Amino acid sequence: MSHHHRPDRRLRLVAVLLVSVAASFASSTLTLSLMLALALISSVILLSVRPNNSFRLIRRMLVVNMFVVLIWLTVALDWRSMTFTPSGITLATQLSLRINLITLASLLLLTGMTALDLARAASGLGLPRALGSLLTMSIRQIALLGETQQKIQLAIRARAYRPRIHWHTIRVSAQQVAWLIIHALLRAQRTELGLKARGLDTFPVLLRPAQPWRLLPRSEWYFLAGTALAVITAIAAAEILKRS
Amino acid sequence: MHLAEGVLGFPTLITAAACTAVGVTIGMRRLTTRTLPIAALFAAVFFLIGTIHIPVGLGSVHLVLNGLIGLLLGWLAFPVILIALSLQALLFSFGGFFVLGANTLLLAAPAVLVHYTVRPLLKTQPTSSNRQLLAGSMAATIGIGGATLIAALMLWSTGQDAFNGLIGVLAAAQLPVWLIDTAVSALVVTMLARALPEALSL
Repeated sequence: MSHHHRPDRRLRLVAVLLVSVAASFASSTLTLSLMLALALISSVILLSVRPNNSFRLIRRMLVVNMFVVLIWLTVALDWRSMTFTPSGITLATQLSLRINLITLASLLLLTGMTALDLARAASGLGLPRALGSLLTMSIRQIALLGETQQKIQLAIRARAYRPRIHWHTIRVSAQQVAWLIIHALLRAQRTELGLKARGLDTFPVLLRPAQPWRLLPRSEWYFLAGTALAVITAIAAAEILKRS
Repeated sequence: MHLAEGVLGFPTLITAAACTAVGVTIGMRRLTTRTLPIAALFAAVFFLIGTIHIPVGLGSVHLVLNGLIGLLLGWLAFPVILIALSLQALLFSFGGFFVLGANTLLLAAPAVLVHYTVRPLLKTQPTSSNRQLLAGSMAATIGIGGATLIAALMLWSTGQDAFNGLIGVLAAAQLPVWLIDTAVSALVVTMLARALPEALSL
C-alpha cells in the first residue's frame, strides 16, 4: 500500500480559511479569475497524482454549479425584459468565480481528511477543550447512531416501505426521528454513567495532542507558504494587469 | 438549509460569525460533564436527520428540525448545530467552513427562540395530544420561518436589491420543507410524550 504524505491537518485548515478570506475580500473579477485558474491548475496536478478523488470532486463541483445557474437566473436575468443586465452579469460573474474558487480550494486542501482529522486540526488551532470533547464525542456517536438508523431503515424497508409524498411517509419519517432521539437519550444516560465511573469530572481529552508547532518539519510550512504565495501572486498579477 | 460558500459578503460573514460566537459561548455555559453526552448525541441526531430525505416531485426535501432541537436543548443548540454543520461541511461539502458561522446562526437562533416561546406549552404535565401537536408545529414554523428570515436578511445585507430574486426563490423553496418539518415535528413531540416524556423536560 502506498502512503501519500499529506501536510499537517492544522495547516490545511488554515490554508482553506486563508483562501476563503481572500476570495471573500476580492471584488475584482480579474483577481478571482486568476485565483480560480491557479486552483484549477492545482486540481489537475493533484488529480493526476490521485485519480481516485476525481469523481467526488467533479460531482461536487457540478452540484455547486447548479446553484450558480440559479444565481444567474435570479441575479443577472431581468425577467420582465428577458435580458441580462450589465450590473447583474458583473455580480453573477463575481459570485460564480468566488463560489467555485472556495469550493474547489476546500475540496483540494481537505482531500482525504476524516472527521477525526478535523477534530484534531480544530483542537490544535485552539478550539476550547469542551468544544473539542463535544466534537470528538459527536463523531463517535454519529457512527454508533448511524448504525441504529440503518437498522431502523432496514426494518422499515422490510415492510415494503417506499418513500413517497404521502401521510405514511411523514409518519414513518417521524418514527425514525423519534427513535433516533430516544436511542440517543438512553445512550446518553449510559455514557454519563461511564464517564462518572471513570471519575471524570472534567471534559475528557479524547484526542492525542497535536505535534508541537516548533517540531513541524519545514516542508509542512512550505505548503502553507505556497498557498499564501499563490493568493498574493493572483492579487498582485491582477493589479498589474489592471494598470497596464 | 445551507448557504453556499462565496455568496455572502465579508462584513456579513464576520457579523454572523460574531453572533454565533456569542451564542456558542452562552451554550457552552450549559455544557457540563453531565450534559456533554446529551449534546454529543444530539449533534449526531441533527447530523443524521439531515440525511433523511422525502421525495417531493422531481427532487427531494431533507429534514431540518432545528425547531425541535431547540425545543429540547435551548442554548445548547448553538454548539450542537455548529458541530453538526462542521461535520456536514467536511463529509458532504454542505455549506463550507468560512460560512459556518452564518449557517449556524440561521439555524440555531430560531432554535433558541423556540425553546423560550414553545417550551412553556409543554410545562404542565400531562399535556394533551392537541397541545403536543401544536408545540411541534410551532417549533417547526418558528424554526424554518426564522431560518428563512435570517438567511434573507444576510443575503439582502450582501447584495441589497440585486438579491431580491434569489431571496424569493430560496424562500419559496422552503415551503415544502416547512410543511414536512411541521408534520414530522408535531408527530415526534407526541411520540416522545408517549414513549419518553422526560425527553421534553431536559
